[in-house]
Amino acid sequence: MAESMQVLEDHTNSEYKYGFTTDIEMDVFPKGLSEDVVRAISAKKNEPEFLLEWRLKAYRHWLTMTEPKWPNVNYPKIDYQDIIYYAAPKERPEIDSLDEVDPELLKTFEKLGISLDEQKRLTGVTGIAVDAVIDSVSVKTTFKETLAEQGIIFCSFSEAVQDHPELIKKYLGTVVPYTDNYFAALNSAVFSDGSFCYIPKGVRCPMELSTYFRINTANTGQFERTLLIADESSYVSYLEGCTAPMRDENQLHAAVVELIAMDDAYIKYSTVQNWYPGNKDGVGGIFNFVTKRGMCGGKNSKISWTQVETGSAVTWKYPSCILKGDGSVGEFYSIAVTNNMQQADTGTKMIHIGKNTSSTIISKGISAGRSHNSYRGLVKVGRRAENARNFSQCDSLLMGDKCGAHTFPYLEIENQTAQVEHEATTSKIGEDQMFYCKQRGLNEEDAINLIVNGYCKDVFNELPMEFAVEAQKLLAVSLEGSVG
Amino acid sequence: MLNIRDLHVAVEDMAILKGINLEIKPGEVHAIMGPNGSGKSTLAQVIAGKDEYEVTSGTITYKNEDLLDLEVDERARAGIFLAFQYPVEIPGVSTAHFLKSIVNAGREGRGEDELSAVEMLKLLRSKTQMLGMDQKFLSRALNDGFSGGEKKKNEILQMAVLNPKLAILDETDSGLDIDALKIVADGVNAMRNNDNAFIVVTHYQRLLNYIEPDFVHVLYNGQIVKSGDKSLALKLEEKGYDWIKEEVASATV
Amino acid sequence: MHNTAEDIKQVFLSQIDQKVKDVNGHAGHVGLKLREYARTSFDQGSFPTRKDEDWKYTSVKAILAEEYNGASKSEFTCSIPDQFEATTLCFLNGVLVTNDEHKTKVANGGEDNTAAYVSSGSQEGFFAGSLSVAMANPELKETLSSSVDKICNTPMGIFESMGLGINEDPVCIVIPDNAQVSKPIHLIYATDSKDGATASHPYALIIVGKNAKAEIVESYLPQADNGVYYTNTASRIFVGANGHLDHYRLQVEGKEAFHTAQSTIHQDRDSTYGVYIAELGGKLMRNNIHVSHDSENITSNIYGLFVVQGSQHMDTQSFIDHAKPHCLSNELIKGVLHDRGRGVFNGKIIVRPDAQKINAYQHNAALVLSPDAVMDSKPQLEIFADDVKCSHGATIGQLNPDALFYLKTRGLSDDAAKTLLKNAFLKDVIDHFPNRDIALYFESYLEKKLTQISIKNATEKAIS
Repeated sequence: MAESMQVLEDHTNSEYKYGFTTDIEMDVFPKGLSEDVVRAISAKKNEPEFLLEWRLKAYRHWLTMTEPKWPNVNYPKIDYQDIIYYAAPKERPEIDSLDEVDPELLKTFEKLGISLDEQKRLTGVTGIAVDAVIDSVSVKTTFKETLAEQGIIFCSFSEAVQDHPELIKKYLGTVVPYTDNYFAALNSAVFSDGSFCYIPKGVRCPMELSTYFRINTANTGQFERTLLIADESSYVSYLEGCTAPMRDENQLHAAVVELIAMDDAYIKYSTVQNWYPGNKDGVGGIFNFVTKRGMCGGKNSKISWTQVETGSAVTWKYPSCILKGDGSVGEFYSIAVTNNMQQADTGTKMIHIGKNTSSTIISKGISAGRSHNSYRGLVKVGRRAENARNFSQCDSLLMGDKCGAHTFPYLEIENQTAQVEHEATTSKIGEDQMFYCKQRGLNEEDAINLIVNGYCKDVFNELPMEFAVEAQKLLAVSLEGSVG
Repeated sequence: MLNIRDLHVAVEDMAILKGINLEIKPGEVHAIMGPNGSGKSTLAQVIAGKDEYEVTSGTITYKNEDLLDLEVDERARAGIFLAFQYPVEIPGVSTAHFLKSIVNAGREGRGEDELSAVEMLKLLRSKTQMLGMDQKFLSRALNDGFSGGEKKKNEILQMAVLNPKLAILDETDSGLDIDALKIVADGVNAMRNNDNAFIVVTHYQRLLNYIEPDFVHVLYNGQIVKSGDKSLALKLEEKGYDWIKEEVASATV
Repeated sequence: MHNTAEDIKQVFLSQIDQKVKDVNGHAGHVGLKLREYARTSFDQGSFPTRKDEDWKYTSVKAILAEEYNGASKSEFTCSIPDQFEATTLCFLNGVLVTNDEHKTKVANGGEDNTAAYVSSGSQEGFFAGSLSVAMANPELKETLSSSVDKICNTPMGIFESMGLGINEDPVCIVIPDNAQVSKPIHLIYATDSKDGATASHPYALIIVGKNAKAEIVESYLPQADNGVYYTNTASRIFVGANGHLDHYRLQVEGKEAFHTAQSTIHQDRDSTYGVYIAELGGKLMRNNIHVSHDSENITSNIYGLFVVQGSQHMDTQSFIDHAKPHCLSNELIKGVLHDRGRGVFNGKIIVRPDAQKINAYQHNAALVLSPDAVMDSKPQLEIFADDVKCSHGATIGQLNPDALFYLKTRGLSDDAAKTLLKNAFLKDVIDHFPNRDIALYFESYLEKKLTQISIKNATEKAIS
């Protein structure tokens, strides 16, 4: 194996291909957090009074809280006064055509493989509307007009605050209140931008909506907030992707995503998370502490989370569903890959409240290098949740013998009619699988791809086509040099 | 085709093969027998290129080229096939997808175009039929949850679609009942021609009633201590290995 | 009346001593070696109580409380099944008997007409007869001695040692190397206890040679309507390298019967052993299956079903010991419980530290159809190797009410619908039987029992 390991080691040095930085003139706040900073962010964004009040309440509440210690991860103490809470490209993001976008910025997105050029996108097989967020603000949203024709609102969070304050006021914090947890409180106080989306009654969104997040400026934290509302009988498929430059210091990303599905609505939310994971020795990388939650408030509503998590030094996130509406459905499909010194503690919560609700959890963890990968999931069936059904399958794949895989399933069943099934497996991708594939004539790279993609098949099947291809490539890159 | 000269192989500094000499010409079938731990499987795996085994001295040439210079997958694409003693499970990868990948990898290696979906389907159908296998087999994940017999049949199916020049069957008959054994043997016999060769590693003489070898070699303590025709296998079945061990012992005294 | 467990043990011990004396005449007889080993093992052991973890749910008190006065002189009257053709050996009260009616099926050459024997030279050749006859055959002597040595080198439990010690002459089946036995070998055990409680101790030594393949069926059938009796059966099974044995066990003992069974299987490399079980009869039944894997590339399958009604008690214990790499085991046990019946399943799988690349699957499912019925399921997985695939599951549930409703809307009565669903549930097990004809034979007894239960339920409903 020694020789082929060397070949792989060589590959590994080209590991993170999104590690460039971009020279764009930025408007940056000084480091540190106080009520004044919260007020300044709100003022900068010209926010209505109710939002400032909400931010301040969140900030005050955050001060009373302590950082959670229960996740199965270790990271150095975060100094919250050493973080920049607002950084924006100086060019005002009020852009009407692509010509007005900073050319450096366009290059950035080209490097990321995301085209902001609607013409280009249109020539593609399927249209994807993109909201691009750099550091704290949204810089460009494509296809806004096309979507508006059907009454769909898809814009940056800041724009939504200006143009649709009534919707923000009505729904903000209803799924993830600022009191929810430490990082959600922090986000509520200082969030600078994000995406907003509203699908009206009976509308099936004609294209995939997508947000690309990028942290660019050093020492900044990224605190974006996404709010997505699917009105009765509507459907939307939403994708998010994230990257960041390679830097030696850790950067904090504490986002909040709130989804609201009304009667018969269906939201499909997919994430490909590829924040900078730090180098091979664990220096640098993003702390990805994210709160994502969906409210299946309406009857027969459905929320489906799919995530491919390959980046970040430390990940801590549990996209969850509150199944309140009778007959509502929650799904969680996850692939979490950790390599080198990465740590991930991720999973989901399925809270069954309504009658005849069902949930499915498919989690595939892949641990390589000296990384640790934990699945943590809660299935809760409330007292009045008659005939709740859950199926959970949590598989772990170990590559090498220095990594760890951990599973923490929690089941809280208060109703006897519930049917809850849990399956778990742990397996190893070994030299014998590699040898077998290579003996049949496949090269090293194809062999890894074949084995890992086979293992992740159940989740890839859930991703929109284009994302699935991207995710498969990403997986291959993340795992190069990890077999042994 | 294959020429092994004074091959010494060690694993973790322990010598396993101690001077193997073996020449295999196109059209030949060689059977290798021997007691447990004599190095039969090691020989098969070294030819395939498993790098856990260290070749300490000696040479293996294949079609007049140094085989030891080639990577595992290069050897495979050059026409060497190993039917594994313990086929490996790859969950989530359908047998059909796997077969498609390996057929195309081989074609790419030979500078040929990939097979079209229709041609591929035709190839897989004809080979499964030849082996009397159910088509459902193709949609199951590779070896995952297969019985011992199904795994062995799957090895022969892969051999049939790849059509190798040199096929090594490492105890493919172990664990098979007589009906499955006949299917495996029929598959091998159908493929035999003047251009290809087989090395059949086996623990049981019975297989050689169905796949008739040109040569039988006895591997003992890392060396080929006796070679002969198929009557040697019958003698081993009848008398066991003790007489060979004794012969070796008296020769070294 | 016996007072203590020790008194009871002494009664059995004296029976063993008598048998040892009987055989003592033939010095060097392997039968004697076995019997003496059995005596020692029995003497050192003690009958289990519910304080023993493996006997937590099953008490043997009732078995031991009975006085067994020995076999009565009567006829073997069981019918031979017509679902499949077999070489049949009939036993009455544990003793191999010749039955005139079945003589041609039983006797097939050899000097003793209780042995079926074809020379090992042919592909079909095998020996099936009593151990004493087998011992007299020089061709079998070596094989038997080495197996007996192996038996005498492994621990022997209290019930097995009691059976081996008391048994008149164990049955012996030898399948020589490379033989492919086309017809199943059927061992039919019947007990007559019309003249008082009897105990019988059938003991079988089964040796399948290298590359050989055979099917053996054990049937424990009711004869007339017996009173109390006790069957204590044990078998030692050796499957040689690349050998294949399918072993079927149908247990339909009488209503008042006690039944304890112990199978110990030793498998050599590349071999396959499958045991296919239906437990339908008896008052108290306990079956222990112990499979040891001491070599690589071994496959073991255990597929069993049971049905309890009234106050029937059925306890199935399996122990699969994976000591070597690259082995596979599959286990599925399903049961249906009625009335005050009780089912116990304790399936233990050990994967020892060096036993990498093991695949072990175990599942136990039960339908508990009465509030007074109890199912105790205890799957135990102990894994000490890190590169293995093991799974186990246990489900205990009811008949699906939607399915039941659906069937009733199609005009089936409640009982008919239930019987249909129970059959479907258990059919899953029978579908794994490799021999379809034997499967049909098992199904006929299963259907008989389910129909009886259905009629009984219908009658009870009509009365109340």
